[in-house]
Amino acid sequence: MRKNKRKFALLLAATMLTGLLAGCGGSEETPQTEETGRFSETEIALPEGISDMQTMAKLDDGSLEVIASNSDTYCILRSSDMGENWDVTPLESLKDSYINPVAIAPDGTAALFEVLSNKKSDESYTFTYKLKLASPEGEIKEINFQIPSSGNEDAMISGAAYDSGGNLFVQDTDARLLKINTEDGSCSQPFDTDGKYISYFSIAGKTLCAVNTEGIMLFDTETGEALDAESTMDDIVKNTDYGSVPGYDRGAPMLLAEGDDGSILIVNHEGIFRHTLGGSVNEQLANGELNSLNDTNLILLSAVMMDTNNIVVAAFADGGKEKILHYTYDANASAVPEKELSVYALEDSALLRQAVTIFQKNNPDIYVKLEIGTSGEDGVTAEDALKVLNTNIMAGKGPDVLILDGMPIDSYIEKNILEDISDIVDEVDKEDGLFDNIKAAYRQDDGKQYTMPMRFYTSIVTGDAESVAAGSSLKKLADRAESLKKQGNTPYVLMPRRTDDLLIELYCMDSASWKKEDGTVDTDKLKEYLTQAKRLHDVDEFSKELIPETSYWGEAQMYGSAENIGNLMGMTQIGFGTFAGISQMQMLYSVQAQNGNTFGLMDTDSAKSFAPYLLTGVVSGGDTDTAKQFVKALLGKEANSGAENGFSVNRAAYEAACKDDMAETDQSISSSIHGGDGEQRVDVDILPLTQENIDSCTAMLESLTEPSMTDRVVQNLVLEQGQKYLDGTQDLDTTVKEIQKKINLYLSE
Amino acid sequence: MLIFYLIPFVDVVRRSFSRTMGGFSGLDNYGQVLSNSAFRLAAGNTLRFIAVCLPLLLALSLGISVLLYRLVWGSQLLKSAYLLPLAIPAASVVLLWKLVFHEQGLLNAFLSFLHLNGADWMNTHAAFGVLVFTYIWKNLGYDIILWTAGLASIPESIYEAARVDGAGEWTCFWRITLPNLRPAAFTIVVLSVLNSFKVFREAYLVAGSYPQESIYLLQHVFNNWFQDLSVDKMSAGSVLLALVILVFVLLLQRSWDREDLS
Repeated sequence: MRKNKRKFALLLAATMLTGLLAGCGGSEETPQTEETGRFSETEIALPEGISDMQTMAKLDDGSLEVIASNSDTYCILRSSDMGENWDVTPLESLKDSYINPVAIAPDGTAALFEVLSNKKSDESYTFTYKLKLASPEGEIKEINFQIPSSGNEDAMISGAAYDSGGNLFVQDTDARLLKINTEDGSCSQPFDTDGKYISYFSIAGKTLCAVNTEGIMLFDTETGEALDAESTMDDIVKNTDYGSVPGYDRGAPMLLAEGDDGSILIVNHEGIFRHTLGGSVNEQLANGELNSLNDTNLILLSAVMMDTNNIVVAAFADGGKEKILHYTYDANASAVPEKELSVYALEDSALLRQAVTIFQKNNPDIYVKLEIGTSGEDGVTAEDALKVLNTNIMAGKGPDVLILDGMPIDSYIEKNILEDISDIVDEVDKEDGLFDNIKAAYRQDDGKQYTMPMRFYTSIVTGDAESVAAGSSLKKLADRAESLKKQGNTPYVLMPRRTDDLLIELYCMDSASWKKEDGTVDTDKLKEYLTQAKRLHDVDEFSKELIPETSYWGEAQMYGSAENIGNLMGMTQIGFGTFAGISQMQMLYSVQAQNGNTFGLMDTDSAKSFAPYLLTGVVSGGDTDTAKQFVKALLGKEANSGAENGFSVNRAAYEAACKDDMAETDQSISSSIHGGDGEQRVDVDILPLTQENIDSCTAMLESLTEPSMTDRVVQNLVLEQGQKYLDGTQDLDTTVKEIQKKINLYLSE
Repeated sequence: MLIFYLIPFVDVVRRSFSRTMGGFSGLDNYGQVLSNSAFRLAAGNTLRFIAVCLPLLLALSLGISVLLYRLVWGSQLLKSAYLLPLAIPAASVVLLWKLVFHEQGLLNAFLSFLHLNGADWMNTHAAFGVLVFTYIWKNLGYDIILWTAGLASIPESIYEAARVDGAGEWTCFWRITLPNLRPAAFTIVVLSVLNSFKVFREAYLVAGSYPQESIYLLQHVFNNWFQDLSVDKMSAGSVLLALVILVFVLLLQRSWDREDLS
């Protein structure tokens, strides 16, 4: 009996152990029943020269109407074949008008609100409006219209829409929802919004959807009665930051339109949803992650459900390009893509997301899963994220593509984690061209290449010729700054900046030359960097309120040109900072034309260095073919088509962006700086780039050879101790000793 | 035990003879670890930390527990009070430590009030003292409870007989209490050594991956190697550490057994 008991116990233990161990092992993927049917995305081409799309609507006859601008004036665009062909009717009488907002009635009549500004004082204006109704044939009828007084003379109209019955509604900045009689221009206020602030509104058929911070209030446009709240629609608003689109007079973070069978269509960056009134779910029709909607640079304008299988969304990319996206239901396409490609980055980047969206759109059979290690919402540090990533890599569950910014690149290469991507880099080079100097900086002696940045930026110094020449070394620059301070021609010599921002800027310029051949850090160079940083820090004495509260260091590192504005205002004399894009190049030359200030690369005596951005690598052992395909897209022209966030390594994209900025523009930038004597303003007329400008800058960028030290640990150690020295709480020798000790410890690990 | 400790440890031993992404490396990893100056510094610091903390903790906790055991009134309350640090989450302790030991923190403010010079506690050799204090503060109550349990197991009749024979308090402690606490002492020493490794949590959260060099412990090296994906070196280091602890425990047990026999 006792023997049997022991046998049973052993058997039980063995069974449990086997079960547990089996649970630990890699499980076979469960075969899934393949579901089919998916909305796939295509883009509807707009006629040449069309820009500044205002709104879009489906008319009673089933055609699509868009109000936009050509190079001359506003125009009505109409298509009865889903954008294959467009009829364009220019509205010549609106040539010199500023129109905002616009609404389209189901019969094709467009209500255009012309804004007339009246100067109130030196810096403020009040606005009045003229309502102009444009018939489908382009005839304009002016309606006498005035916003009813709310006691606030600054009130403006912020949105307009027609319901399916042809009634026009507007919203003003006092959060009032008004109904306008288009016969006589009279206004009524039929909706009781219960004092809630309405961010924006849309009309779906005869249901007015007023979005506020807590949810969506629904009203019947015919009776003005409030409809029952739809909690599932409210959840969309509550769960996301749906305030407004900053910086633009058009677009909304979420679109609401009439769906099929009386439902409401909801479009946002998460996808396209259908909500049936009274229903408890928002049915997802299209997943934003699988199309362009996921691109947070895309600003949504209007959505229209043409029929059950066709949805059209008008949008424009932040920075310009207008798009009409057409979603067609494909019953045979698999509901979810068959392949999955995982991309991992420690920090989020709009540029990366844009590249993912482009790749996703061009490869509908691949689902790109983008994982961000430090989202900033859960308190996970880069170190924690790296540990999780390494565990996954060791377990064979790592990502396919790594964005290596902030990661131990050398260690990954040494441990054969990264795949050689030289073939893909060469392919892109052959097709579009790459900056050879940047490519060469990452090519190994044996011809292999494990990483390549998507973008890069460098540092410049701006000012008069003498200051720019002094920028060739930190010491000369500090000498020059101190000498200018003594002359006292301007209130300050340099712009105010936080110590951490100053240190990191100078680190990017200087650190490329610190590494000795044995891999250790050159103490003399470190000491020189800290000494000169301290001198530059101490040139001006800024009051506390002038120092920015938060660090500006991040994706939008565009401060070299911003500093030039200080020079232009006569507030400062030397500017320095990152040089990170063609828009910045244009700005620098525009300022140069105005005050003669020039610019040049900074700290070139130590090294002509550049900082890489979005370093890409492919992880060995995974789906390397698809991963390389992604890297190719990332380095390709389409994903690199922006003029900001660094210079594209792709020459074709770089040249195209330069060409865009060679076009005549009537843009001007107004900047203000709070100085000791109050606020100062200056206007800079943005001039088109000339070929000479571009050639000069291109030569500058081609001369860069050394990547700055991207090691996160070294950078953090230098910044942590360096701040103490700059703040005066630690002397130089102690600072250098502390940094040296910790860096040596790190390197000896 | 088998599933969560021994089998993973066998895997660690296997990896200690391999490269990170596979491939036999022989004793290379051990060679690299033993010649690694960061590992040697950390091992030295860890050893020094244990050598300072262990006697201090054992003596303090034993002294307090003997006093508490003799105390008729309020001993239960005091015992609970000593256990409080164990109940405080590491994150809260860290927050408090940052407030207290920062260069411009509460301790320096207090010292300045007394016209005494403060220090940058976490960035000078004083950091070692802070860490020792943290360990003692956190583990004192636990050890007191263990000692008290040992004291309770000594029959009162032995003390009474000794006192009848004219033994004083000191003689009783030296001749009766200490010898009778030897079985409990073995457990307390081993637990205290193992608990000393847990102080890394506070050290890491207060001072990060690269703290002042006197508090750069073995766990810092392992933590940083893991971030660097140096699993090969990490495995070899872990095996060496396990061997040292095993040898220490075996030696301790052997000396205990010898004492028992004699």
